Formats: sequence, C-alpha cells, structure tokens
Amino acid sequence: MNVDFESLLRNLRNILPPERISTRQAERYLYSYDATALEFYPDIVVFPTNREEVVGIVKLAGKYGIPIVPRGAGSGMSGGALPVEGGIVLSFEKMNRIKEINTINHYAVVEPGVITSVLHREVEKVGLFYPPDPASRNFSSIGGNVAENAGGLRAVKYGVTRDYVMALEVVLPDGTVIHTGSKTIKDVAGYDLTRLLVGSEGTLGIITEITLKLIPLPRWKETFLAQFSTPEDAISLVPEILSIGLPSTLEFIDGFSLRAVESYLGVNFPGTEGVLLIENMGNRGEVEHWAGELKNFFEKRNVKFLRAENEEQREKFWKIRRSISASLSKIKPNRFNEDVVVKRSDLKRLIAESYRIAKKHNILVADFGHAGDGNIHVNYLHDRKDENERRRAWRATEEMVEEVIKMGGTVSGEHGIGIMKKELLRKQFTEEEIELMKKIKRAFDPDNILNPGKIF
Amino acid sequence: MNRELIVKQIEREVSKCARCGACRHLCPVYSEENMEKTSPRGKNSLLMLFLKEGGSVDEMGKILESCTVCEACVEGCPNEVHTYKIVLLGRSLVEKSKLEKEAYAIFNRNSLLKTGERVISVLQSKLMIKEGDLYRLRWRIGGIDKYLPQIPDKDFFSYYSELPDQGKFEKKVLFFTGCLIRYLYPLTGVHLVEIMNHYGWGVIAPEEQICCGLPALSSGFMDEFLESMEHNVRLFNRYKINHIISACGSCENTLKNYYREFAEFSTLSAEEIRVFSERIMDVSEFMLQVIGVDRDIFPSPEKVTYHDSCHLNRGIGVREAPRALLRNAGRFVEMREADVCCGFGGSFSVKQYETSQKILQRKMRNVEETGAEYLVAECPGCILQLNEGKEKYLSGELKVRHLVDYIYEKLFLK
Repeated sequence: MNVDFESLLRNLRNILPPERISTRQAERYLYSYDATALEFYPDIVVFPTNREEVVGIVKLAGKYGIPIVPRGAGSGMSGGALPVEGGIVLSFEKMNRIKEINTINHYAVVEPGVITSVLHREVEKVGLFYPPDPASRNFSSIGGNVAENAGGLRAVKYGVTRDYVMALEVVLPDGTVIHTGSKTIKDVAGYDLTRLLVGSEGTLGIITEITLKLIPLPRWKETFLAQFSTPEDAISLVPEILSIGLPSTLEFIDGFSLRAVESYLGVNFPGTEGVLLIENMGNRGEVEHWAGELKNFFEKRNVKFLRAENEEQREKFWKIRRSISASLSKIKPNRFNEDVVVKRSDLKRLIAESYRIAKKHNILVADFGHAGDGNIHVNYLHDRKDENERRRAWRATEEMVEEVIKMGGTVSGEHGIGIMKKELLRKQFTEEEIELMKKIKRAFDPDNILNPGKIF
Repeated sequence: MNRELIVKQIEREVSKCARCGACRHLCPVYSEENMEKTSPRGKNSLLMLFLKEGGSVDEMGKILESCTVCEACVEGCPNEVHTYKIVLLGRSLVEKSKLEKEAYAIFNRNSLLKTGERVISVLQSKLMIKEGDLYRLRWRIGGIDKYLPQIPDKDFFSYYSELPDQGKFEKKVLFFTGCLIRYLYPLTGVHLVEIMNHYGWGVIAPEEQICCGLPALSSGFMDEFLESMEHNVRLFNRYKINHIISACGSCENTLKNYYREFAEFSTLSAEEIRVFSERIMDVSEFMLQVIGVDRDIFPSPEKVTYHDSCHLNRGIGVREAPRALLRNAGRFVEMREADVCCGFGGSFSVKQYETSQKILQRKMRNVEETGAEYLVAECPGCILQLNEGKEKYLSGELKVRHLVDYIYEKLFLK
C-alpha cells in the first residue's frame, strides 16, 4: 500500500477537528484489538459525529485507496472490527444518539454507536420492547449488532437482530448515501437490501442510521430451572418443551459448566449433570397458562424443577447462567468459543460429539448456551501459554465444526465470520456459493476498501 | 518504592483482561467521553503497551488521570480485573515534580494542615467570592471553576478537646476522622461523637492519626501512602477497642481494603494489617445495627434521596444501612444511577475538570428528577462535590447533607 498519509491527513483535517483524528501509536493501539485477543494496528482512527463527516471520510478513503473499517464497541468475537490490512478505523463511539422513539408506529431511529441496553432502557420507559439481547447487550453497540446480526437469549421466541431492522441509511464506498427498507410493516419493493446488509460485517456499506422495529413490552414472566442426572437427558427434552409453546429463552448448562459455577458462586446441585433454564414472557394469561403446562410436563416425567416465585429467585437462576464464563476462566484462562447451530433434533448428537472429540484430544470441554434455538457454545478450554494444549483445543474445534456441517448446521449462529472463521466458512459453502457472495461484495465495493480481509 | 514489584503486579492483573469490553459503559469517565482511551479496557491495554514497548511517560500519566477510582469496572468484569489497582500502581510509575511530591507529603503532616486551615480560613473572603453557602475561587486557572465550603477556623480536635471526657464511657469505639472531616467538616465529626455519646458510647479519636493515604496513593505517591498506612496501623493497634468507625467511605475503603491490597509493599506484617482492618466499621451500620438509632428518629414528611459513595458501596459493601436510616427519617426516594460516581475522585476533579463536571451534571440531573429536598451522602468528598453541583447546576432549594449530620438533625433538632 502506497498512500500519501500527509496529504490524506491534511484533507481529513478539513472534515474533522484534530481531537477526533488519532495518529499517535498509543491511540492507534486502542483500536487494534477486540474480544478476540488479536491485534492489528490501524494507520488512523477517526471519530465522526454525523453522516456528513462519514461521507467525507469514506470519499477520502476511496480517493487514496486506503481501507476503512467501521467499529462499534470493539466487543466482537470474530474480529469483524479489526483493521487486518491497516487503514482508517471509523469509530462510532461518538455517534450514539437515539433520534426518535415512535410510540404510535412502534419503531426507533438510532445512530450506530447506541449501546444496546441503553436502547432497551429507553424504549421500555415508554412501554415498548426491543427483544434482541445479546449477552454483550450492556456494552455492545447497535451498529455492531446489526453488522454481525447478533442473536441473544430471547431469540427462541423473538428472533434475532435481523428480524427487527426495518430500514437503514448506508454510506457506500464511493460516498453515495442510500436508504434501504422503510418504516412500514410490510414491504416487498425491490430486492431486500436491508436483510443483505444486516450481518454483512461492514464489508458492503457503512451504516449511519438504523430504524428498528419495537413491540409492546411484555408484562409477565415465568422462569423455571430443571435439573437432570445427565446432560443428554436435559438436551433430549428440548424439542418436546418447545412444542408446549415457545418460551422466550431456553438455555442449557452441562455438568462441567455447572460444577465450575458451583465452586465460583458457592451454590450446590448434587447429582445434577444437566440444567435447562427456561423463561417465558408475554401477557399474564398466556404465560401463566404456558407455565402450568410446563409444570405438568415436568411432573409427568419426574423431572426435578424449581419455579422462580419472585424477582430475587429469578435473578439467582440467571446468575448461574451469567457466571459460567467467569467460572470457566478460573479453570483455564482461554477457550475456543464456538457458536455452532444445529437443528433441535440434532442437539443430543451435537453434545455427544463434543464430548467424544474432547476425549479424543484429551482436552476439557464445557457445553452451554441457547438450546432453544440449537445454538450451543462448545468451549474447548486451554491455556494459551501451553502451545501443545492450545493446538489440541483448536484441532478439537475444527473437528467439532466438521461434525456440525455434516448435521446440516452452521458454523456461526451469532458471532459472525470475521477473520476467525474464514476457513470454516469454506467448509460450509461450495466454491460457487462463495463466488456469488464475492460478486455481491464487488458490486458494492469494487475497489475493496470496506473492511477488507473479512468473511472470505 | 519497588518498581519491579509494581510492574509485576500490573502485569499479573492486566493479563486477566480478555478485552471483552464489558467494563466500558460501567465507567463514568467513558460514559461521558466515549473514547476507548478513557475506558478501563483502554487504560489497561495502554499501560501494558507502555510497559512492553516504552513510550512517553507523560502520555501514560495523562491517560491514567482519567479514572475516578470508583471501582465500577471491577463489578461488571467477568474476570474481575482490578483496573483501579492497575491505575493506582501505574500512576506511581509516572515521574512527578518535586513540588507535587512536597505538596502530597503535607497530607501526612497534621501541623502543616492545621496551620493551612487557619490561614485559608482567615484569607478565604479575600481569595474567594461568597456565593450562597459556598465560596467560589476568584481566579480561574485553565477554566477551572471550583467551590469550597467556608473553611472552619479550627479543626475537629479543637472541638473534640471541649467535648466531655470520652474515657468515662464504659463502651468505646475508635474514630478515624479522615482529613476532610478533620479540617473541612469538623462539625460532622462532632455530631458523630454526640450521637454516640447519647447512646452511651465513648468515641476515642487519637490525635496523632494522619491522612489515610488515599490522596497520595491516588496521585501515585506510593511512599507517602505507605507512610500513612504504617503510621495509622501501628497507632490504632495500640488500642484494644473492637471497632474503628469512620464516616468517610473513601477513608474506610483505604483502611479496610487498600491497606491489605498494597500490603506487600509495606513493612507491616499481614497480621498487623488484619488486626487493624477487620475492626473498620461504617458509622451507618454502627448506628443501625449496634445502637439502633432508627427507633428514636421521628419521621418527617420531607423527600430525601441518597447518593452511594463509590468506596462505601463497592469497597465496603454498605448500601442498605444508610437507606434504612433514611427510610425512617423521611420520605425516601431512590434516584436513578444512585451508585454511579459523582465525579469527585480527589485530584481527578481538578486534573480532569471538564469530565468531572460532566459526570457531576449527570448526577445532579438524576437528583433533580426525584424532586428530593435533601440529598444525603456518606463521604465528605462526595459532599464537597455535590454541594458544588447544587450551586452550579440546580436552581431549587436542595440541601446536601452528610448522613451523620442529617441523622443528628432528626434526633436532636426536631
């Protein structure tokens, strides 16, 4: 790359004040990483505060032929925000306004830097609800959620980020501003560019405004914690539980993960090797009826279960789930965190394979996650400093993914491909299929300046 | 100061960071500035970069300044990275001017502080302009616009010597005053003694006690901090009294937690520190659990809200006792983000003046939203900041009170 940086910077300074352009090593280092533990220095970091500035920056990047990488909170798990080929990191940290919450038409218009849980709080104040709740909701940004098509715990009943994106304002690599979708419930006009852009990981365009669908806030909640003597017993019951009526959340915790939490939280579940944590929300009549049926279902099958009687108890149940990550890091500092997804009928096979592979490579494995949508986090634990162990864990991860593809599953349910899963993507799609995706990329970004080196 | 040991401790702590970003929006500084360098993750990462590759120490110092040491980041960290500790250790690696070093050494010299208090007390009306109950600095350096209460003409111990002989009480507690109560708010200390005496408890306050050391530690003066720690531990350990009470959240957290966390740098034994720090008890818990003042408080109809001082809340874990007392005393209303920092952070409020004010403005908006007539807190540092916030950002008749003063009013002035 042969870029005249002095001239580029001179031009950038016409668009942004100096305090919103970083070129010093220390400041660039701060935008070299995300949650993947990898580091790639950008050449420049910019902090736009509005669409016009983004357009100006993008035009300059095109003119100088320098990569441009949009970045939200930098909390991604697949390297989507990493400037692997250097260039300009465009941080949306300062574009974090909620522009409108429409209580009649039930939508919100936001800038990409809005933190997901801030949006949750603001819409809930006026009796509305934005269902997608990735585990990172307290710190990840909506822009990042849209770019990666983030999932979350409530996806079983409510779907994922994509299902709530109604319209987008997007800056194309040549600086053109386009608008996709609309604020209407139904819309079949032309190709569905909105759904194409959601999950495109910043490779097709730079999103500067997002219109999100909202729904009325559910007012009632019921939460169950069911205990089983083997992980297989727990996971096998998932399809039947879903047939009773879709809960908002159905989480699975295996024995290994549970033991880790027990010593971490000082709780005790003797003899339990599998847990299902089930929650439903909605209107009171509907949810109470569902809870009654689930209770009967458990009783008929002699399943040991607890039903949260109040908010405090519910919080205790969830604390177990939320503490898994921290508990596992006390056992081994690192883990390859897969977010594979299979059909619910294959869940039992998925965890059986994960244990078989772990045994074969003599590596610790913890399975937990969103059983309700078939999205289990298979975690092969290791210590990065132990090169041999790290290699075995990676090998196990690859074998696991191969099994998932054999089952007709997917290599990523919600983290995205980024740079972490590029090889795995090739296992899931044919060359022709990948070539078609590349053609789409070229149609949007012929000079390949937008987040290059990702997905393919 | 053992540089190598400090670096090793920083490395050990930083290596726990998985860079997930969970801390970012818990940080009051990040929440206002929205730039990675102000986030806990950013500060940790930069410190590691500097230690690995070297770099401008000035730049490192600047970045480490942007922390109020509120500890909120630890609460939400899945790996429990103690970023505030990394920041404190990191600050001790930054070179300081001789003048600054001498300024911080004053905190450990009671005679100098006492003289300073008298001088400023006399000169205050010349140096500052009276506005409401507060004094505002006449000259603004670098846009810094600070308010102070009226500086008293005598310190807590001058009042204390006029109080009844505390030795005559059968039941006794030790009292760690802290600098702000000792020199700026001595009456809060007097009220504490009077409440305790009323319930038959004597309050033994050794006059030789010195600053807890937090101002020094938080500005990177490790040696001066250790001097405070060693002096106070040895002094208080001479008294065989079960409780050491304090009415300053920041002092308490330093005495109870930081003394232990930084123990390996000191010459004290682990046992000496344990004997000292396990006796620390917050005055609100003492008033509620040991003497039960709540049964004598006559409830009034006034609306009162409570601001959690960071160190009392996260460091000591005191959340409920002050609220329980306030529920008895008035119509208690919880404010939004009650546990978010007020932006004081000692020297942070000057060094990072603009950010400190943004955090304070947000706090005052949350206070205003409750419609409370009284804003109560339990750390004189917060009280200083909140009074300034009231003067600058609120137009109503809000009264800011230390919990001890508020309870004192309810017990004796109604």
